[in-house]
Amino acid sequence: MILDVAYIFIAGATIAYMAHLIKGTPLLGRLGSGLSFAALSFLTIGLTIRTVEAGHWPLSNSYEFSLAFVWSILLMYLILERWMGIRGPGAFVLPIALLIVTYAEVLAPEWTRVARPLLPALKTTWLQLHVTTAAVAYGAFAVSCGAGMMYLVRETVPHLPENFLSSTVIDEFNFRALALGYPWMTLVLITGAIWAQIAWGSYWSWDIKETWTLATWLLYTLLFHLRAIRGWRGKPIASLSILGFLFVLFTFLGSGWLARHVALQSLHLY
Amino acid sequence: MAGSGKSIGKTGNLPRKAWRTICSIRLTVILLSAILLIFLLGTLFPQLTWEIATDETAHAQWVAAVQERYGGFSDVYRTVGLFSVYSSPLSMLLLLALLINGIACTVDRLGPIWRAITAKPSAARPDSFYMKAANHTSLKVTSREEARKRVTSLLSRHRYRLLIEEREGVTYIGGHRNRLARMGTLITHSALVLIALGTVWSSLCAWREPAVLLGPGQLHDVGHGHHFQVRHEGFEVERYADGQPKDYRSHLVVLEEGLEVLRKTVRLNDPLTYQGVSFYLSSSGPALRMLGWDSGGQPLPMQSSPDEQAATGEVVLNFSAECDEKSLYLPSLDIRLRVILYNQSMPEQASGESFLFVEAFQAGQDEPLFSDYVYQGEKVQLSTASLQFITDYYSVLQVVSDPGFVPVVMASFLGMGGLLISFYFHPNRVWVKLTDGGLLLAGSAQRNRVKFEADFAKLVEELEEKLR
Repeated sequence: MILDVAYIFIAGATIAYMAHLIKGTPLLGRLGSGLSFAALSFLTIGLTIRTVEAGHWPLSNSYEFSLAFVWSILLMYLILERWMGIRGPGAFVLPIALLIVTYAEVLAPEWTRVARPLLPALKTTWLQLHVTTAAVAYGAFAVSCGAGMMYLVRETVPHLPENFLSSTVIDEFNFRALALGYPWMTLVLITGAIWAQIAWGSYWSWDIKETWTLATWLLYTLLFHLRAIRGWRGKPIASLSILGFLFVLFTFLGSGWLARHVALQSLHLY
Repeated sequence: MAGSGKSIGKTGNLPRKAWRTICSIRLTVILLSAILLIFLLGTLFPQLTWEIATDETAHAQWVAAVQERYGGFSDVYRTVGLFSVYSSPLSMLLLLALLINGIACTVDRLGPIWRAITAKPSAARPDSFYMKAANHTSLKVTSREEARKRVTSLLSRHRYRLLIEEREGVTYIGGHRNRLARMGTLITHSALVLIALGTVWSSLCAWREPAVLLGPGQLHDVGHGHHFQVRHEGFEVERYADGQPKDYRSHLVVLEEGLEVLRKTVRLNDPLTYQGVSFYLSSSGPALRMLGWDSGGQPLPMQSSPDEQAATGEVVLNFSAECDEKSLYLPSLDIRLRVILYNQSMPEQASGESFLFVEAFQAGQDEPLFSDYVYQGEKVQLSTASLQFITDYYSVLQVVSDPGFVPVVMASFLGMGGLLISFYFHPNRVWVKLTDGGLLLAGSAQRNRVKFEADFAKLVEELEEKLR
């Protein structure tokens, strides 16, 4: 019920931010922020209740992670919105949160929605550290993807509303989202390696999920290096921000499929 | 001569050009892109990792699965290296090139960064400098002395370290903050080099025994230059109310020269480590403890194969998923037993009552001496001996020593520190020229210039407020 309310708030915030972008009415922007904050609050309550019910942090399956992911997108976005004092990117970021919460509510396997006790393999503090860092990094990269899309719209679509943010501001917003996400993504690799060593005696096994996480990190590393080359800022960085988030989504949702159909086995399949 | 001189000049430039190429970010981008593509290619084919290659059973399963999936192409794919992408010469070459690129880039930037950090900042700048600066402004002041106090107080509050020079009735103030932040990238690059060295150390010095099966009471000699043993003292499963496993526990004891030196209950995610060797609980399976006595109640010699030294009174048989049948020999009675384990609940299943099928053959006889089902714990009379079968579990331990792990983790955290410095601490500089009539202020940022623009605007706003 609480999560359903959060879902409605996210949908409402998406509409409000889009209307704010088109009409330029500050009130609509503030409404978007308010609804996002309300959604974040309801998600926090929902996730806390689930933590109490299950006896562990809600990070043990795709449904729970999706909710943590959306929670992180909202938190990262609201931090950046406050930090930069702009609301325009919400029209591009909130739809991503809406898509992921829709996946959680509609497409996630039914059994994952029931709070269950942890499997013995997942009983460790490293689960919380590793998966929480992933949720935070993914959230920041989702915000970066939204900013990337906004940048490309700014650069390619003629006759935009007057209040549409300038390329420089969008690029700066994107950079701040990336600068938030990248250290957390690095922590995902570090905490994952430590957990793998403690669990399996091997800090790196070339497991498909590990490899895709490393590939995602490499892609963002590539982005930062490219940004340092004159003439490569702007569209290439915006495009890579979108591609990077597609890598994130694939690591989250697609690598399990790849592990089952290609690798024949994976340490990350439970 | 001129032509010759030009030629010498070009030749002289070659090493410099080569060095610039090795250090270049463009090369980093090319190498990162190539490595990224290779890594992704590796996820499209089942990889024969070291863990699989060193585990006989896992390797056999892998080969069978690959043959089934790719048929005749499997040999072709194997030949071109699609099943060993991550250890292929191309991958190694690209990683090595990236490592060299990283080292070269770090070395190349060390000098300029060191000079920038250690150079004594000069505060005095000509007026033209202020006009050309990316961020600059001019303000009116009524009293130079008062303005100096207020400007220095404001800049100090903004965490600028200040240098003040007085020259011919003019006050010059130079300020810098986060000067050491220039080291961020160097720290990150150095950490990546250390991580690479750690992984090389791992690959040279680490060893692993992927599956050591230890039944109740069984011993494992660690070897690899270590002089201690590990004894398995039992395995247990704790379950939730619905029968799902809650915890797997293996009780291990470390022995040196027969004496107990350490005792630990090992769980998933909680290994036992002694002298740098770690014992990980990776799985478990059904085991059978068989106890035997002769007619006088004395322990009976038993062996699980004719070549083995006979154990007295008790023998442990470890059953695997593939093999639920075992043989046992009673040398003193010249009897061979065939034991099939039924319904022994696996640790991941809810418990059920287990029983065995036991057949005993006297040497040279085809007809069994005994053939019947036996419940666990039940005693059986066989010729002059009595036997008791007790079902139990063995633990499968992974025994690993990897001296590269700790350095890799430490280097990773060092790299993390470098990243945080790079992203969140930007070297900034400001210059102020104060005369009796006015003030010139200029500022520059080495990175993140957009953010500095906002910071500079805020600084100007606060300065205007203070000087009003």
